[in-house]
Amino acid sequence: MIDKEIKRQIIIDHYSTPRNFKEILAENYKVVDLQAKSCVDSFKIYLDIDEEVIKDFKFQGKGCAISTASISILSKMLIDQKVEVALEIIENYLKMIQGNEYDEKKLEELVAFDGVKNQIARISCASLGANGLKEELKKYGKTK
Amino acid sequence: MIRDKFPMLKNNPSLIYFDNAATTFKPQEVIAKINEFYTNSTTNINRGDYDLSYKISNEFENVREIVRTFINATSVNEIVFTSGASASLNTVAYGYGLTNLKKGDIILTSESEHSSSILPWFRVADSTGAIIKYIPLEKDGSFSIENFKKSMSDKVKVVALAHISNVLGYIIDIKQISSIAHSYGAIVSIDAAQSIGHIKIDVKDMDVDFLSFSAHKLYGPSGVGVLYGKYHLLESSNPYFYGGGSNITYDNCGNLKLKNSPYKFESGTSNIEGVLGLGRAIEFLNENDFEKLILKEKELTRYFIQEISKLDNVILYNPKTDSSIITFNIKGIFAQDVCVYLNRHNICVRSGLHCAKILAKVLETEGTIRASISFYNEKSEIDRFIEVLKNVTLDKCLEDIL
Repeated sequence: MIDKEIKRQIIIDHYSTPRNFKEILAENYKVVDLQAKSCVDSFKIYLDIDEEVIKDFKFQGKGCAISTASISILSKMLIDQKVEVALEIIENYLKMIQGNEYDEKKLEELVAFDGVKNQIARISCASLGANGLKEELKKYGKTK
Repeated sequence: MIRDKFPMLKNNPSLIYFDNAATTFKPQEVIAKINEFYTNSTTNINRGDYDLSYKISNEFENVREIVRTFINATSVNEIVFTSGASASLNTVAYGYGLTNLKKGDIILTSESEHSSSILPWFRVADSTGAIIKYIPLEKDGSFSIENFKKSMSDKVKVVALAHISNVLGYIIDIKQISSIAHSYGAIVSIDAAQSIGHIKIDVKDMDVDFLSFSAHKLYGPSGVGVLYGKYHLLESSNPYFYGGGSNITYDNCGNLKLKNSPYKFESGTSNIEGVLGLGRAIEFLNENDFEKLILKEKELTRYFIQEISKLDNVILYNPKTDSSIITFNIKGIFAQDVCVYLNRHNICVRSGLHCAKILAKVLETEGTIRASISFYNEKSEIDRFIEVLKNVTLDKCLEDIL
């Protein structure tokens, strides 16, 4: 469990200056279209996956602080990761968001969202990017 | 006090409900009416062989008369019960549009329409070859009658507009629109979802051809609505769904003779308790001097605008709103983050594009916050809301999840 103030700083930092925030038109990138069901959050994630490794991860779009910051952190963490490892991180993150047991060590800055589980209205914000990535990566990964 | 008549307000005294454009709370009498149907009067209608069905069928038909009087239609045969404004608007598009439009005809609408008002026409345009054109809005997103006049031509066959934009709350002068549209031979279909509970509507005076609304925004139940249409236009329209109750006869050669309006549009068992609840909701408004309630709502909205305009951290999109819809953002904070913060203070408002996605381009924003007032709101609630809004920061919006 990290300090409240640090969590706040992480989220605001990634929201106000999101990492890897760029539109990609290159054809070798997979586009993951993220549309929230009950709000206007809308992002596109661009993935360059080669031999089961995420070579590049960019994203663009509009959304609330929680959705934007969570995708930004994921982008930072998942570049150069094997799809298999990326899926483990995502699964672990989703477990945390849903209030299940999880492995804190694997989540780095994503632990900033450990309080989301208590706010039913924000679970979908924090899961938007992770759910979309999971669906896409499952097509490549060996694990579930 | 009017608030005491609404159980939602009585039972949730700390709740500040400013999402009345999404749905309104229901007076006790409406709830009691529905309860009464289920506890003592459950039956299907139009099966007059026994007293109970006969009684409820009469009550059901009497609601047509209550609605007719409320909007000043000529005949009860012009009142079609539907499942809501969206179903009514679809009936106009598929029922009238598909039957009467042809290639090259123009369907004229605006960029501030709700998706329920515009999307059915997308399909009609696809099927008939008709074209959808948009009347350009003013810079502030309001409707321009001058631009409307410029957009009119003999090619325009349908003018489809919302009486009040559900995002910016501007009221359109339908009487003027009808007069201009009719001079070109076009018909006028109005989405009154946002106006029916907030303006006195007179379909004869407005000379509107079709008018659609939902009961749940009129203090009535969900899942029921009304389509008003001039009788000859309803007669020249086809239903967009078929089934029991709509026909006089049919045979195995595929011949079908439909009933006249409104029955040909009401296939299947209606939302009987919903219709009865709608009737009670209108009676409630009549008994409580609807016009006086509207004035109170206007005064509350003026006060809301006056107070929110004083805040430096607010971008107000419709300072000239003439309905009870107020649309704004907090500088530097995404709309939804603000709404979640307001939720923590027991304040219900709506964030998003409010189902009017074309308008986002006009306002140059991805989402807004919408507060919408009802006559049962109080000045003290506005004061509390302003106090909370004054102190909102991104930090505070995140407080809940840290």
